[in-house]
Amino acid sequence: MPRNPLSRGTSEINNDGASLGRVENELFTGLNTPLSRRSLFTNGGKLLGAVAIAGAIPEILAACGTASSAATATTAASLPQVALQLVYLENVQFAGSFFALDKGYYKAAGVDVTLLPGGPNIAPEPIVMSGKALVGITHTAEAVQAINNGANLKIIGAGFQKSPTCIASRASAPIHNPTEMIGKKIGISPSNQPIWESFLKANNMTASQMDVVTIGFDPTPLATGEVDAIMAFYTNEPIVLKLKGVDTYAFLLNDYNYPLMEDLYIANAADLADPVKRAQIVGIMTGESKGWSDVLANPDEAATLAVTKYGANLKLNPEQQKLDAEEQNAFVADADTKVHGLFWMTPENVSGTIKSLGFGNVTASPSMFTNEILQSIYKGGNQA
Amino acid sequence: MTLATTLKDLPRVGEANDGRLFPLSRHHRTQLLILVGVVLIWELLATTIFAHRFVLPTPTSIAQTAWSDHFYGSDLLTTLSEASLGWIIGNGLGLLLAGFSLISPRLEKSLLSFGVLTYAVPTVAIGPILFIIQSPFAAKVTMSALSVFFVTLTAGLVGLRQSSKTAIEMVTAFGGSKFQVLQKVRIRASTPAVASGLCISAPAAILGAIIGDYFGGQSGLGVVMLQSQQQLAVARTWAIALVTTLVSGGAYTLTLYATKRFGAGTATTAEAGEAFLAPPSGGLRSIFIALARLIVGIIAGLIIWDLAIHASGLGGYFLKSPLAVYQYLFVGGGAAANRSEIISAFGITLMHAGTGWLLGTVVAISGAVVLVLFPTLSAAVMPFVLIIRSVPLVAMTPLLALLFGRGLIGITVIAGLVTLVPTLVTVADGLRQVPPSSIDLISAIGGSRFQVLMSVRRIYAIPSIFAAAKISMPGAMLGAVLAEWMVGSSGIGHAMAYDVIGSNFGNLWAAIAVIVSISLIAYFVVNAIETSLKRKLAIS
Repeated sequence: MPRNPLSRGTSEINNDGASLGRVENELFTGLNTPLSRRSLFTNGGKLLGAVAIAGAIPEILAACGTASSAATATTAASLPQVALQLVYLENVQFAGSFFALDKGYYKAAGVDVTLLPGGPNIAPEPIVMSGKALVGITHTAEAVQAINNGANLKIIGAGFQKSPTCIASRASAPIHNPTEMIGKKIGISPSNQPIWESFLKANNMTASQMDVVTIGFDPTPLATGEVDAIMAFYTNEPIVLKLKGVDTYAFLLNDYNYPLMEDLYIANAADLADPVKRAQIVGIMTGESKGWSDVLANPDEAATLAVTKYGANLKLNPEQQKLDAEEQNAFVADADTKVHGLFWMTPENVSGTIKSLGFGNVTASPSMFTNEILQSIYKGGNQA
Repeated sequence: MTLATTLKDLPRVGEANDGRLFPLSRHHRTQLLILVGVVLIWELLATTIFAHRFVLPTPTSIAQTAWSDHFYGSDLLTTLSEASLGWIIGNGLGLLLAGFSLISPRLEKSLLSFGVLTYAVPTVAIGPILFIIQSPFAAKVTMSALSVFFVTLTAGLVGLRQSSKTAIEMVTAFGGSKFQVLQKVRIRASTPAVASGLCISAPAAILGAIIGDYFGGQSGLGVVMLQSQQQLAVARTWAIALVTTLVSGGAYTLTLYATKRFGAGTATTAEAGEAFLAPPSGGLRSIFIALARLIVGIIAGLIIWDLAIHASGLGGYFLKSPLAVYQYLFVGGGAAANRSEIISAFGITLMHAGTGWLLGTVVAISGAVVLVLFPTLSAAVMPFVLIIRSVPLVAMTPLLALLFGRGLIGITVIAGLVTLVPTLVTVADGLRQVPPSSIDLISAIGGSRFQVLMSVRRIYAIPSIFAAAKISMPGAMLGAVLAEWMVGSSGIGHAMAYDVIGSNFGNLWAAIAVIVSISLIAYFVVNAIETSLKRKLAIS
């Protein structure tokens, strides 16, 4: 059992609830006594001390190998509080994080994690740089652009080994590959314009070979027949359309000269150099890895968790989330992750991503990517 | 409730109110008929022309969705708690600052310039920055507070100014102290204006919180709207918009009712624009003074901006100082390219906003003329106009984008609608502000309603058109920026959204600086024209 000799608070705690009660009592009596400036200061001091000491826990835990979550859950009061910034609203796209919270994987790894939901108009990079979140999940080009614009960030893992960006057409008139797009009407949303241009360049094609139409970010034009194909996310629009009764065919950009890792994990390079912060980052990524293993094993439960618990206020569509969870597993795990562990970035994937980004004039370099955190989690194996 | 209580505004339309809360009259039957007619036509359109186009769901399916989603109760609660906190903070600060004008009346104009400055900063542009330094909840409260601050500040300033000189002199003559003057005259005189500021800011606070939702969150009306848009849940998108509208209208009505309960009848013409109907004075000299004030205001703004960034202690990667923005735009090799990028994006926004503003103003003025010529029609239609006023732009934008597309037409319609309602209300008020004696005179010599309009009302309406312009021009601009940001594919709003995502913060801050400067200049120009026009009117 991991016992932390450094912290009085945690060493007192055994596996039973009674001792948790004791700590709570201590906390509450502290709060109930009238707060003078002085008592506020000393109590605050105690808490700060506990937080600082707790930073050492993950390393001890790592040394012990696997830790019982029951034991560490009771130490929650003294675990360091850190945040993980998501790139979008809390839907099944982040199911691994939901499992990690729900099953106590983060806490077992020594961190008390808060998930910060994202949105279409929020950038995780500055939030990580400001220290509000310790780790962020973000899009590839955006992470690289942030670094190029002065953010001292490192990419520490890839949630998706390949990008789900695809060209979707109606199943009744399928477009199987880039050359079949020639002469067709293709709908591209403004936000997809950069990746569309890069993709054409990667395949030695030009926009003049087809009829390119600007559309919104919903897939309606494909459903109504206004266009022959749209650029879409494999795990999103095709599923939305399927549930509306429109079957689609889709090919991945990744399979046609445009390899790209997606949903990248980022952290502040300064935090990676700080032993305490680094241990906390290892804690978050350990929780993520375990959580995503659960998603791979049980996508239906992942969807349920998203619909009924973490995204409960979003009115998510259960069917859509379930299909999404099933489809997205193919992007999370592949032959490489079986060997190296989840989120691992192989040199081939890194150089492929750099090359693809280059088609859009986004300059990336191998030094922006590092497996060092994953290295200290997997230690040559493939399991957290 | 919304409809029924908004009817209490009817007296300003020139109709007698017998004091009952729900006086059942011919107008109400007309209104009910209009409402039923609209719903029926809607149902018909949705099942025929718009069927299977994922754009316009039937009213019945919207109602069903809202019902099975429990009217978005928990999201509603989140949004309302953010908005009410923002409302309290924003109004508190606004009134506090307005109170400073009591200490020194000279402060008043400077406070107004400062208010205009905060009004001209697009919420969508500082949203991302707030979200970096604050928690999502706090950021939404701040955005909500920012949306109401200007309205209440101006309302407070106008209110405190409104006390009549004779009343003050009387209290002083009877030995009243300065404090008693304040208590007995000025505060009492200011309540109607302040009350209407509070009313207008209720839906505005909700709007601010919902815009914040578009940056992310776990619950809130904007959050669930965002999700339903992405999932092409069209009926739900409409249902949420409808709930948002009802709640905003409800918040307005409730505040109106509460302020009346406390004995503060709202001022009839307390559109924020009214704040600037300052007594004309001075001539060219006054323009120079105003210009000097503007420059001082801008310099103060720059200093506060710079100090705030230094105080935050956060790195220069996403927070840019005024100097950094200056360098981005004017120094070094890339500056010319940076400038042309911003100018071309801004040109598109100006076109969106300008076209929208022009269309909105033309429709509003024609609408106001029709309403004044036909009082019966006015009584039937005005409540709907007032309801539209409380529809949050953010709720309307996705629907308008569905109906009108995301191109020039869609964005222009949105900018136009932002202009339409305040201008309609203000100009209609202006047309009615004719002294009854002059109307009687023309009627007595056999003049028709139309002749009254052309000879007298026209003159009285001109200042109100400019008063409306001062509010609706920045309004159209903000509307265009918001629409570009939410659903558009071009313009500075769109560019700013991508600046944030692509970590192009130099461009973002420069864009904010440009928007604020242009808004201030436009405001200054319109103000100068209005002042000189009013002076001419007063002389003639």
